[in-house]
Amino acid sequence: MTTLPVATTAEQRFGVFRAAFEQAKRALPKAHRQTHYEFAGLPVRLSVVGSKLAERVEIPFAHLRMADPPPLHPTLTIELWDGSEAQAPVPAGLNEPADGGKWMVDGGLLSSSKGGRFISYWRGHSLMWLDRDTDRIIGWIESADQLTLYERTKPLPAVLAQWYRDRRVQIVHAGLVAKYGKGALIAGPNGAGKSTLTLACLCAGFESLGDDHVGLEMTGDGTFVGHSLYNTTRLELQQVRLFPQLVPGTVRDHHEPNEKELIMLAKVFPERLRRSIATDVLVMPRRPQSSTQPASKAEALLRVAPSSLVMAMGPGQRGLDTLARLVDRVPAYWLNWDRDPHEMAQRVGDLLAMPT
Amino acid sequence: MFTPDSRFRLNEAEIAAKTMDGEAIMINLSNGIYYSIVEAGELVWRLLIEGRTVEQIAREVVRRYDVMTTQAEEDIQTLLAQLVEERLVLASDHSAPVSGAVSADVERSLYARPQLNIYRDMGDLLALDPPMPSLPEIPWKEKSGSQPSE
Repeated sequence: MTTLPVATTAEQRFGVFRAAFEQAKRALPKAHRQTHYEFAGLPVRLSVVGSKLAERVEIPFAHLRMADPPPLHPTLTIELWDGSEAQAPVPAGLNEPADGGKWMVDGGLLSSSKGGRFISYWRGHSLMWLDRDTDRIIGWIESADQLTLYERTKPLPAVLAQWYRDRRVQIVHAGLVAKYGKGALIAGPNGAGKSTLTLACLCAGFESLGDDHVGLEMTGDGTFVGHSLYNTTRLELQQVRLFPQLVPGTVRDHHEPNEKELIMLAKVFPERLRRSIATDVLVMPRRPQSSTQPASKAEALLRVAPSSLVMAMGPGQRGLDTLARLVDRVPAYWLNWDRDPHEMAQRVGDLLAMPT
Repeated sequence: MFTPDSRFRLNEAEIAAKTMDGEAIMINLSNGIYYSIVEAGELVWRLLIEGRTVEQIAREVVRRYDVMTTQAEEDIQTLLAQLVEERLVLASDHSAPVSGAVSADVERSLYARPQLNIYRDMGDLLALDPPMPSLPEIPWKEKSGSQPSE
């Protein structure tokens, strides 16, 4: 293995990190896989060294895969390697750009270079860097087996969210379904029934763009377009029993002693997974009454904003302003819980069928 | 007790805030606690982050709501103490008076003591289900050119 150059500046460190990826690729050419996707309508190239890692990282994005031929000029290039399989550890001293800000985020160290061009995220078993100028993510994972269930459901934490944010796509804590060519954003904190309602809609024949986190983009004419980010979901066993049609999508090889199952929706309903849709209505499930009622703009903002800004990498005041524009433009309804989530799905369909 | 000429500002480092349909909504981005306040409380909040003094705020509340000055002043002090304790606002050292057009006389509305609604449910939910990491805003200048990433 060739010796990597000494790096002092953030740009040099990124260069060393990239060189390490290239070394891993040369060390394990048969385990190198390249696939292409559309993230928020933009072409992305994913290049992975390590068979198991490639399979695990590709699963959540499977529904966003682009058909051949691959794009000539991807908007984002992601290059990852499995340190264990490639026998290629992460070079020393690259945990951070070293000359900018640092924050502890979800048990990992998030750092930026001075000026903000480079972002790095170090979690002990993985290191990711994003170059915001060349739109390139480089990542080392100690071993594919080290990925947590959460990371397998939503890969590339922090750096991918930053890339979306740079493109004014805000990640919101919400589900998104579509019917009649119109989108219903399903918002609320954990426990409100977001995932359950989204999956009930999917099983009832709606198109789905995600049950937990979706990207929201405001277009030039003020329309809000929702983008699918992942097709995977984690369900508790009792939720899985509610939706037996989803059982064939269970990914069974995760090692966590967890009461949650990882489900790959692209395996069960590939034709019902949609990439983007305009958001026409905001639905907010809540317990325990049984009816559908219009919600005020303030109620809607209070429902969708807190968890989106805190839990889904929201960009602070700018994020809140965007969500305020969303609730100002899109009608919102409380959807009070029925016993039967399938009946709830019918009511979402009724809202989408209303003329706009 | 805050002096009549005390001024405050929004704690922008931690708080995102927005008013919709007369309801002020504030979110603490670091701990997930969020708040709402309406009516007289929303008026106090709005004037506070505009930079008005405590005295100016009390005068405006009495002008718009059917309440005695002493009651309004007492309620404003209570609310202010809560807003400061929750780190929604910080003392401001802005000394220049904030100019603003004087509104025409309005019919006074029924008064209700300002009530800051505090929602702490996010803290419990964050513990139950690990969220996607909450990113700080990391500003960056615009790219010099749109180069492909290869």
